Amino acid sequence: MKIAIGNYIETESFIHRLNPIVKLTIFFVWMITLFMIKNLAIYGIILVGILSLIQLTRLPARLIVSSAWSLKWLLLIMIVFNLFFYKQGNLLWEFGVVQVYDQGIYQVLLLTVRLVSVVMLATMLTLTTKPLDLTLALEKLLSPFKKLIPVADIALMVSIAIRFIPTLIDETDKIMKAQASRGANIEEGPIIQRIKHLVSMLIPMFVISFKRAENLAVAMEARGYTDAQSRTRLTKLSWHQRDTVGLIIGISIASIIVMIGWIM
Amino acid sequence: MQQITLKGVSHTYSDGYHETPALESVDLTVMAGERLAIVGHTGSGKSTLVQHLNALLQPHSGTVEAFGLTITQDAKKNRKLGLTKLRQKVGLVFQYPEYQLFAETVLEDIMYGPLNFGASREDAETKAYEMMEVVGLPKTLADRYPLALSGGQMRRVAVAGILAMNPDVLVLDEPTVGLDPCGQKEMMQLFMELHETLNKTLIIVTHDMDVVANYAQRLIVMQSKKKVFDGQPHQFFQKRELVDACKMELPHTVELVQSLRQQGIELDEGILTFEEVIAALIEEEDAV
Repeated sequence: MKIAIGNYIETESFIHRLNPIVKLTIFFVWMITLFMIKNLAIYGIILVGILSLIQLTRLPARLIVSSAWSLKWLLLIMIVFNLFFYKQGNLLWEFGVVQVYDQGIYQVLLLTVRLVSVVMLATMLTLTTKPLDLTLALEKLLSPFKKLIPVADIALMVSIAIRFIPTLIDETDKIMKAQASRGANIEEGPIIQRIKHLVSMLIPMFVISFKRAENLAVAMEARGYTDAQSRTRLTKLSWHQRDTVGLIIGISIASIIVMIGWIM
Repeated sequence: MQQITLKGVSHTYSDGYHETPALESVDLTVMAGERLAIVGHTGSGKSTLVQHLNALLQPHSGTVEAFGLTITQDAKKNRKLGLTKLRQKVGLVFQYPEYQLFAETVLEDIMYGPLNFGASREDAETKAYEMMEVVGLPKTLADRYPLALSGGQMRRVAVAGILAMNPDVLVLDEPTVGLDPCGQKEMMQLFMELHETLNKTLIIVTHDMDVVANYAQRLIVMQSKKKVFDGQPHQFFQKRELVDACKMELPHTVELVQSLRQQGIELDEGILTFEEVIAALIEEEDAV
């Protein structure tokens, strides 16, 4: 199974050691920055920046690039829609009902680099941060809103969901093999047939997931779980000097980029 | 007659970052109509091995020859072979019936396999009723929702679903786990009947050494990705060091025979079942 998101990979790097709160904050700030920039030249610089950041994480670059590649269908649909239905700017090319405008091309390029950058950053975040640390950071960042939303419960739900991704992948694999042994084939044959075979895999998946959720709930209650709010943590996040430095660098980069965008 | 031949089969799992070898250069020949048991500690590669038998997994090196097909490491070529044909010939019964039961009724679920392999609805239905009888499910259950049945009954539905495809080889993954002792015996008795009356090849993956002692003619032992033993079960049980090295236990009968021998009662070391132990003890007493 090749799913990079939600998959922590241990390497010795500065990025790995950063406090997850810092990483998450910088990630959000950068995401906002990415959507503020409208100049394609700056995106060139940003992409170079992301690639050098990959070097800093000491993770194999192809892992992160391939996560962006997995967007190809989404991007293709988006490109088709924007190219043919965006009708502003100068008409470049016309063929029957199909009209391509220069603004359309600009939009396509903008959306593509934005999406690719966000996905690469998100992949890097999850590859360098343990899922549980990430939810803990999310909980900490959202804690000012404790009165309004059940932050602790949401954090727990998210961490359970993340925890069960590999389990579910495992189970899906087993179900697919069990049905393949009975002649199910979702790769070949007429489309109706393939959908039917897919159903034969989806139903056991749901059944097993619900059963697992029920068992987990019972197991948690049996160990005295009442609510997430009043629970304390076994491990606490600690703040080092490098975290302050990292935070300052991360936010400075974002501000500089925004300022360049302003000037240009 | 040779039915399935594995030559130097290796397999490595990969998640794009880590590579975990699971099988290293395994040779195995399955003869038509034999009763073969495959045992091994968790992670020894036995599951990976059996998934090669019906091409759920394909070798990363080496070849699998079965029913006129030669499966190699070339995935494109393999696809052209039509691997589903092989899955009809080699029926694999997984450990947990929950992984395969999905239809609204027991009957529909059993019909799923035969329909996939091109049977007509009438034929599939006849076959399904027939197999329900074979596995000992009363006809009244045909319209029930399969997941509402008891664990033992679900297991039977799953087995019937595979049998309905009429495979020549039956691969059973841990057929007795999760069943009560009575259910275990019934289940194994059922497979023995199928083996004897329909001459199906049985391949049993298990870690229950009593199942091996009672039902296997030939034993394959897997240990850290390799085949370390291939022969008659009693030969393996006499190799104490190998048994320990593979972290296996002896069947209760073999332990009994060995302690009786230590007490000075002369029993044949090849004894494997309780019936044989009793018979041997009576003979011994008569001789005295």
